[in-house]
Amino acid sequence: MAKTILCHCEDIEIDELYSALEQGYGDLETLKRYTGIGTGKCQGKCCIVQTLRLLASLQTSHTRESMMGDPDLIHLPTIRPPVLPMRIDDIADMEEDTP
Amino acid sequence: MSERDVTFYFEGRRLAGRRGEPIAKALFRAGVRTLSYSVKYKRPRGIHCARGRCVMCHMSVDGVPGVPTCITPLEDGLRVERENYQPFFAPILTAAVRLFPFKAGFYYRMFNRPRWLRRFFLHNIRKMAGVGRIRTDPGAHGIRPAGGSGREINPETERASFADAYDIVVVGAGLSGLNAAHEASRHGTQSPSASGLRILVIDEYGKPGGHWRGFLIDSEMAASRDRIIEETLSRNDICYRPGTTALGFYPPDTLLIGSGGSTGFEPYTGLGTGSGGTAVANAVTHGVKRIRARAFVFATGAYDVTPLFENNDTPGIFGPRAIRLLLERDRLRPGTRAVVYGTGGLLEETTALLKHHGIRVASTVKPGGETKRIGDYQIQGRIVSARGKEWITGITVAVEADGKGGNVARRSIDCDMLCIAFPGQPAYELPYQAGFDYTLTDDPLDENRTLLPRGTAIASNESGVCVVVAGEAAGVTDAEAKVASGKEAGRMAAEAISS
Repeated sequence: MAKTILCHCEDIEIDELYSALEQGYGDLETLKRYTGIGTGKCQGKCCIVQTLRLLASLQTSHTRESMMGDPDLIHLPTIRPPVLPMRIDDIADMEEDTP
Repeated sequence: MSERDVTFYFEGRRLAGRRGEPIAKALFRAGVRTLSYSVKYKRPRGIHCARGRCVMCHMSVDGVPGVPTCITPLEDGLRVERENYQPFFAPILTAAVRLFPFKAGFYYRMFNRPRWLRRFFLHNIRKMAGVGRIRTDPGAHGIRPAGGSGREINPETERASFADAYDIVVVGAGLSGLNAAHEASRHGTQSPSASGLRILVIDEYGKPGGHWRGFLIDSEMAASRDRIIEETLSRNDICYRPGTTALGFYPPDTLLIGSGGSTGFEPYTGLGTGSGGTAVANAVTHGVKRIRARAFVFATGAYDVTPLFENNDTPGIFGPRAIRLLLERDRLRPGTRAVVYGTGGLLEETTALLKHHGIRVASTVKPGGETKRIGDYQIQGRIVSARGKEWITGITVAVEADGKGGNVARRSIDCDMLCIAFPGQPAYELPYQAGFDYTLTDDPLDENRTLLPRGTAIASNESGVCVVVAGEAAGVTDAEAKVASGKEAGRMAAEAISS
């Protein structure tokens, strides 16, 4: 079945993003929590920019102007370290921090 | 039978491979191209980013789940399995799941009632999503998915080989990172007060040069690449550590780094003659360490992004970085008839790269706006869908006859690989953690607009630490601009700590 996949890790298709937008979730931080975009194993290494592009293009198109009026909604969600998957025993083995 | 010939097991099947080659490559040659099934719709996924960043090649290796097989070397007797893939009822399950109406937020609304069935639902949903099972037996602790085929890795010595503090840390040894280190070092030795700086350059790959492109179509580029690698890494005040990945930035001045451990790969041949091991990108670390510095240059590059079209996750679609890694590092030709989809210099370079490796370019597809034709095989338009079940078999292009979006006709092209040649997503994570705010470029008509940091330097944060971002991480895509951006970053870092 044809699907346009936005986020490969969490298998989120573009229609799911539109559906979330129609349900009123308009900024990436909320969309991330609601749809799961950018929460997969890669932590948004290609879907974040795609989603932002979509949000930006919807903002400029007239049809969705009422829904997506605020340019401040286009911002990155929080990215916490570590930025790559790492083994928990590496963290456990890490030396104590000496200030 | 050579010493490198080994056997391994894929879901019980005995297969032959070569010691030290990526597991995914051995599987590909043995005809296994579907490496995983996606979590929700169970769509087949194959090797894609070739650098351990996407999840499509994650498999269970010797019982350890989530191993990036595209960068994990093969060893004798490895048992490789697709994660939670049960061959017996998988086809029925897959068919059912593909018809299931997953609407956004479904997991907040569905399968919660009746309450007494919730545990049952949760358990089975997790099982179906399938990201493997963690081994809990005592033997599991010692398993390092990406180690063992080359040098022995001791996390203690890996950590000890780094100092606790540096003057400048450059993250990324690509075009701009190298230029930044070179320029900072030059400034450090020139200024009368400083007797040379302690500069650390780290890079996830085993060879310097990053995803340096352009040298195939420009010999001057190739010469300048070799020169800057040689000049930079031979300087006394620069410590270069390949196979080292930056994992996180903790303001104000601390960087978490992990030593990659995968060895045994053939060197990344296209990329210069500099010193260094043969370790490649490694998402699995072997010992992590915190280091401090007075200035940081983030030249972290960018990630491949696949544009949005139907079935854009079909195996056989590769980004510009992935295709270089596959062809040059892994010596793996994933197809024989390619379509290249992109714009500008990246389109030309990727096309040249494919031809250089004997892959036929059936067509290049370029979104409208420009009318210049490179050759007869170029189509102006955009890809609207890909087809193919386990691997790509063709694409459909919406042809723009007048270059302005009017007169759209559909054209179908057969191919067994699709190479994307659009600018990627800047690797903004570390600069973002260091305080850079990223925003999209302004042009609303440019549908491939990238993320740009607001400003390229934070001269000094609350602790007087200078943070600079350079190259593709700063949204710079042109080679010459990358050099300039790197030099500027190096100069700013050196000046900030000398004042």
